[in-house]
Amino acid sequence: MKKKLSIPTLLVLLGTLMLFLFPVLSDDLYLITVFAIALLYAVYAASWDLLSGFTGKENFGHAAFIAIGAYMLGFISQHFAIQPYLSIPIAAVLSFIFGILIGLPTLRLKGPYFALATLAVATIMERLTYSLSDITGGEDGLYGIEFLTGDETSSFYFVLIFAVVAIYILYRIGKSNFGLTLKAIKSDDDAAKALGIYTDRFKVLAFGISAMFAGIAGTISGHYYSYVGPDIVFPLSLNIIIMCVVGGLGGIIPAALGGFALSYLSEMLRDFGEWNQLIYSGILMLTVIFLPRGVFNIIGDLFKRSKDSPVEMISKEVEK
Amino acid sequence: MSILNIQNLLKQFGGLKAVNEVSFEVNQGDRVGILGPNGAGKTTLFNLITGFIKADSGSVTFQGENLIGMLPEKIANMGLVRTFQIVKPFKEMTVYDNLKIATLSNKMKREIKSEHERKVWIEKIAEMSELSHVLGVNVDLLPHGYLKKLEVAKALTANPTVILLDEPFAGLTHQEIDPISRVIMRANEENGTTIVLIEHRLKEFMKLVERIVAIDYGEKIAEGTPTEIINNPKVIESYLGKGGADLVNS
Repeated sequence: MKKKLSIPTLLVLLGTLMLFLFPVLSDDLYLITVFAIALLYAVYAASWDLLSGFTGKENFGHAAFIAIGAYMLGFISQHFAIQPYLSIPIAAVLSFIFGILIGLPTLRLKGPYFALATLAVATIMERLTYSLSDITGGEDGLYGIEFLTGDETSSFYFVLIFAVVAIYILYRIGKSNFGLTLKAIKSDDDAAKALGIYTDRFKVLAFGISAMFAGIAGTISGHYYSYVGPDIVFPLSLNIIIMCVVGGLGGIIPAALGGFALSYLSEMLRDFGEWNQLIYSGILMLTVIFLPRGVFNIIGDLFKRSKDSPVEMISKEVEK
Repeated sequence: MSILNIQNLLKQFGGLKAVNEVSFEVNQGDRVGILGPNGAGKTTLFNLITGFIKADSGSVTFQGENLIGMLPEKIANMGLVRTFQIVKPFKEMTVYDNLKIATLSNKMKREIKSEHERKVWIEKIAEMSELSHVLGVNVDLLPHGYLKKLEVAKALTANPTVILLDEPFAGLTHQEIDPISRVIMRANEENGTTIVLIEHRLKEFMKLVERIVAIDYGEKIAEGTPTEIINNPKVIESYLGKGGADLVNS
């Protein structure tokens, strides 16, 4: 079955293409850096969405997964000369396992209890980075990590390709039968069990996958900044939730776009000095009030062709 | 030989015996009804059989295996599938995707070899359940009658050997009941699915089932054909109160 590409898909592809062309057309290193960081945020947001947007369990400690990837890199880079291509698989395995370990005891918690449990995990990890400062560098963090590549432009391409691949994989997972099952579990756990779905296994696996991509992105951010520290990891938890809610949940791409757009926006608002936070928060409040399903979900809906309403379909059936 | 055998099943909530030493058997291909007034313990009985609540004592044997202590999802994978009295559609997705979820269990992954087979199977159940024309509709937009039909169709899509239906007609008009009644009959006659049904709508219920187990205050008070049951003084009393049988017969 061959489908025509929809307009929103084309727009996303076009935007991605523009990012690939940007360093060729412009030598604005500042903007290139802003885009690279925004791309990492897009991956954070997309990985959060796979767990929380799909299963409805809002993870308030996503930074814990990112920290696993980042600090693993920080630790091994103090002891070994590590290349990005080696640290990434290590981060993937380690954060996947960590995600499963967090998922197992928390998967039966609901609503605020789950949120608090995940918040606690991230807080404990933050405390640990201070108390284990011999290993983690404490408040100062760890410097001197190997850069991704020799220069800014190729580092940007590295991040860009990683982000595109990671978000695409997450998107495919979301569209797959696995993603559909997660949504069913979100809607009604018991109803899924009654049909023979081992819901706990699906939830734990979603934890693992979400943590894995967050962990890899954390490692890549460490390589990109050449630095790992509590200040760039732990404030992320809340930011990621905001980005996903503003972008839109349950579709990976809207969340990723939310991550990219808000990261870019907060950078651009720096020019407003002390007004920056006010404008940023104002935009957040307006979207939550007026576009509760998320900006990019709403934009996507605008392009959907309206079909027969179900009422018409049913009444047609009755007339037969 | 019976396919589902319930022996001395007991469940207490505090001092209340919700299900008190209930025993009955269901044979392959049967259409059995569970009758009883509100609060008699019918839904608790279903919850016990399908593993959603753990029984205090007694046994549930399905195709020779004891189900006590098994996870609900494992029991469903063995071919014993239930529906819920309060409909549980999977929200924010189409009717098609709702049915698809039922094909993603371990059992159905063994039975369905390809995506094409999956589609054919879902469309077959949709046709049987008279849902073909709304397959593409988001369930959030469906009227209650359709959601009740979907609830039965979801369970049928899991290709059960025995299906436990918890008040499939509750809250429906007579016009809405007919199609669901037809679906249940077709599943039984065409697919050989064994039916166990809880219902309050006596008229439709009596037409559908061949044998009835009557329950009151958690205890089995009678078992027999629909005619026997409606003439049973104990059953009449459970609905009309003491002396109800005399009232009816006078």
